[in-house]
Amino acid sequence: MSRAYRIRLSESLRRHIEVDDGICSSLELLDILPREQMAELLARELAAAGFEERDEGQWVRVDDEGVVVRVDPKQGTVTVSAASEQDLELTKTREIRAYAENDVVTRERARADIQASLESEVGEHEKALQAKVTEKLEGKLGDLRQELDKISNRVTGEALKRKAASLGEVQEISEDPETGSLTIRVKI
Amino acid sequence: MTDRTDGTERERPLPRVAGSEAQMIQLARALVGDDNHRYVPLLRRRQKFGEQIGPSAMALVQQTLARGVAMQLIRRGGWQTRRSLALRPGQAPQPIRGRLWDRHQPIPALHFGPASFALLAWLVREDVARPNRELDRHPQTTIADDLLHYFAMEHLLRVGGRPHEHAGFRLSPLTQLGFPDALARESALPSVEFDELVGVPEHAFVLEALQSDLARRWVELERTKGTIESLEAMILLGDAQRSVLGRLFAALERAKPARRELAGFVVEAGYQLVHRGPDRRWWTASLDTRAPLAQRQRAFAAAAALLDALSRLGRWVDEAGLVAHFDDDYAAAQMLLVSWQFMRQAPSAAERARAAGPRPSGFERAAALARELESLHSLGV
Repeated sequence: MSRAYRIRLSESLRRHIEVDDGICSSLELLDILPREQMAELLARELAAAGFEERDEGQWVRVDDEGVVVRVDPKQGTVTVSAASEQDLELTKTREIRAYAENDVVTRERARADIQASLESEVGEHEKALQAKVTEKLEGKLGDLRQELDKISNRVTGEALKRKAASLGEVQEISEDPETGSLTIRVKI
Repeated sequence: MTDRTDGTERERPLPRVAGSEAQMIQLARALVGDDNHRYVPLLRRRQKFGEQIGPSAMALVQQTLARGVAMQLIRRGGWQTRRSLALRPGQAPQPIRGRLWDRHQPIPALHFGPASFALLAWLVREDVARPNRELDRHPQTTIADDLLHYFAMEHLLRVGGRPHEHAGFRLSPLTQLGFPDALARESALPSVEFDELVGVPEHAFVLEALQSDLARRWVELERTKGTIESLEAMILLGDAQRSVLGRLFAALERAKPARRELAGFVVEAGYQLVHRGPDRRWWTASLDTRAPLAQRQRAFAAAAALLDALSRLGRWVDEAGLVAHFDDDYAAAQMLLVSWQFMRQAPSAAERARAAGPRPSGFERAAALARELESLHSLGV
């Protein structure tokens, strides 16, 4: 009568996973002044909002959670991104039955199954990490939208004032901070 | 049937065809017949079919296609009074207004070639939902052959066919224009050029005739966006729309003379979609947004594909308004302004009176909706 052997197999996996997420949008600034002047006004507002100028004219701000906001004043685009990484060390143990102690085929098949299971677990960890990064970005997006809208409005207002001054004599400027409306009277 | 060649009546024998040839004739009639909404059971049957048919069957197939395709072109939009550019040798292009047969005298002939026979033979042989062989793109496909493939698409889709798996459909400019959604179900649309379709007058008249049919198709596929749940599916659809319209618009501008009026079906579809004032959620209502923001944004941008195309056409209209009266293409520019007037206008005077402020034109509304969909504000948070 043949005997079945119970064999315990253990496999480990070490993996470094990296995930990121991000979006790109435009600031929708009207071309009230030439592009370079609009870019200059925008750069001034960005500096006041804590952005730093980097190479190639990009303005960047990184917050304490690692969310990066990058603005290109010449293109009028804003990119918001975040990334995360994690080192994984996973181990799985499985007990199998074989009809010979040195049954290589059964062992190899079982090892392959365990490896596949470990890879699947890595995939789950990646998804979970990705979801965290996305959630972090989503949490920032609401406030960021409002902040960028305010920056755009201030840039637009300043551009209108400069444009009005170039048309003639500005006699009166009145702003309503609650509604955001701006009234400029110009004598031409 | 009687024959009176010599003053006496003689019975002309009815043509006799084999069973499989009869099926080919039936299928040809279904493709170009009156009712392009009916279910054609023949498309789901396999039938042995040789490489050739007899002269009687060939004559009947030719007659069916010749009469049927002409009726289809008229029924699908040729009967409508439209404006297009009349291209006459030795004369400057001039706008002309009328039905298809008024604008083209004589109407260019349509020549069916081996590709049409190959299509019909394939339809007879195969169960189109589970074919044994792929339908290839015939190297000598004519505009008439392409038209037959276009007419076949709705029948195929109705019975569960998968035209996106067959190069004969995937590489056809007309089917790409009419059915980008069906052809990009699993992968991106292959790039085919539209220069021959729009630049050769004998081909472009087909595009003129199909304007309202194409508008109907694009309204249908745009309406499905509100039911799409998968971000990937939306991205595939939007990318297919951008690809096909981008290539079409480029070809229209490259043509000599430029044939911008042939993009009219996009404007007509756009009018039907935006004039009721939908908001951006109409396009993305069913999307499952549980995904990275980057993928979500791609899907929302894909949803705006037709709206982006409309804003580009709005710029064409703006450019047309700047063409001076002494320019060679002044007449063509004026034709565009008149033809697309309905999208340039803001809503009716009564609606403007009810509105709190100025109401945008159709083109402006489309551009604003596209910006909303692509902005940070739309990402479902």
